Amino acid sequence: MGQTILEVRHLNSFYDEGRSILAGRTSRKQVLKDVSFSLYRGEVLGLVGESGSGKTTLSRVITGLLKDYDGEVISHAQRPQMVFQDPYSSLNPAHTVGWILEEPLKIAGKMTRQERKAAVLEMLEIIGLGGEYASRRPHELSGGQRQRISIASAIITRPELVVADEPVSALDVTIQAQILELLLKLRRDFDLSYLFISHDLNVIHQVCDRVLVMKDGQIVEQNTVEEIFRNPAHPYTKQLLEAAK
Amino acid sequence: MKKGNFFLYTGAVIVCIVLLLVIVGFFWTPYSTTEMDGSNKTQPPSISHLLGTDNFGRDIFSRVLEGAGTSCLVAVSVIAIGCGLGIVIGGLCGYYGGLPDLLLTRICDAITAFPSILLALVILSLLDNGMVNIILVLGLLFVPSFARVVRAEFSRCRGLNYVKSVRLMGAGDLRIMVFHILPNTRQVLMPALAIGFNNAILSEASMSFLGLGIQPPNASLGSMLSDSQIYLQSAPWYALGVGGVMVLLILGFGLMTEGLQRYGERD
Repeated sequence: MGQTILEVRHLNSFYDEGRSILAGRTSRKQVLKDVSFSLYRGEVLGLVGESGSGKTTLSRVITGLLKDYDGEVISHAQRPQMVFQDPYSSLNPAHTVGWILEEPLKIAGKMTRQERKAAVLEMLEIIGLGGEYASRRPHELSGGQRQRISIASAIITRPELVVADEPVSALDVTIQAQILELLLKLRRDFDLSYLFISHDLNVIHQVCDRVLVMKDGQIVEQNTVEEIFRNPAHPYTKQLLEAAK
Repeated sequence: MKKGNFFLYTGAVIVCIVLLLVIVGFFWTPYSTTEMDGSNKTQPPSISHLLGTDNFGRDIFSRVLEGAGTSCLVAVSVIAIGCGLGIVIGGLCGYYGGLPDLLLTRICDAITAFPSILLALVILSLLDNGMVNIILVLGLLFVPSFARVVRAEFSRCRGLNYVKSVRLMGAGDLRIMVFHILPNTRQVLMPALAIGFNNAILSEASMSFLGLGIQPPNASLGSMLSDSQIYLQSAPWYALGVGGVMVLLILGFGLMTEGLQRYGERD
């Protein structure tokens, strides 16, 4: 295996369930239990598990949105970016597509105005939409187009690691295939690594190199995607495979 | 033409006509607004005096223009203060939440719980009468209505994915608030502005009607309405002219509000 880009060691995370007025103390639920894994440069690492298993919490810890955790997260990637499940809330409805794509570059602050505009147009071509979409607003776009834009805005600053949290779950099956293809193409062109979260094993099978299986906040199995599908070791993995057939 | 547009256009046309007259009134009126003419007392409307004359022989149309101008000036200033402070307070509260949010929200609730006219009366009777004071007092009393809607939008938007992703890109809180969330409050802010403007016109008129607002010889719609009630029987056009302009202004803005809200619902 190549270089690691992300290492997670003995990660534990808790969730406050709210203060009970009578007892006067907060009850805490453990969401992540001793999670350890490595992500190698250039790979697509899948993360499967049922809802509530801690997948999203893990993604929030890795990207830095959630800072309350115990354990180590060693990231060799600058500012990991995220692609979210719901393409409707991931684009700002008040702005045009061009503005939305330019904003990450403005924040990074390394380009002139002309360079930014050129980069936005180039990115629109890369994701297969074309420059004329720069003046559109998100509500004029379909779910698949929106998801292309949110992927574009995540990678326009050329991050090395992208966390994709159920990026195709809200889309039709035909659109799903297009978006997955786009993600794989971008990995080649931009040298990306993905942590790809999904509850759909078919999707995982199409894009991932290795898979982590998560249950109740623990990683119960990790292996290459071929091995997981051929010889699932953990009973829970077998269950998932059965259900996906 | 769509339904929302009908309200919007009718309202806008009425508002534009009245505002145009008001702006003209700032620079030019057919007659002097303060000069009295003993030979022309309480004349009914005619070609030379469109709305007749009052008990001092002053042209009512000219005075209505000036009065409406004063009322609008007060209303715009009140809205500027109320909306400006409301956006800042509501935005910070909604974005950061926590204890300061709780405190400020409760204070706003407390202010709203009081009848605003009563509160303004109390404060104004402690201070001096006059335009600046009435603007300041009403402005502060209008803060909660804007702070509430802005706070709700900020608190809704701060958890949305597009805010999360710009945060991941390293955007600061101020940038997120000003460029990413504030533009999204436009839809709730526009109707709030139109309603607020109406309320400000009415509040100013009520204060002046009660003698606490604009002082003679300057005219505002409220103080003129107050003057006119004595002559309701001998010179009914006085009250009708002044009241009519106020009704037009408020109707116009009311229609615009309705239109804006229906327009917003289609998105």
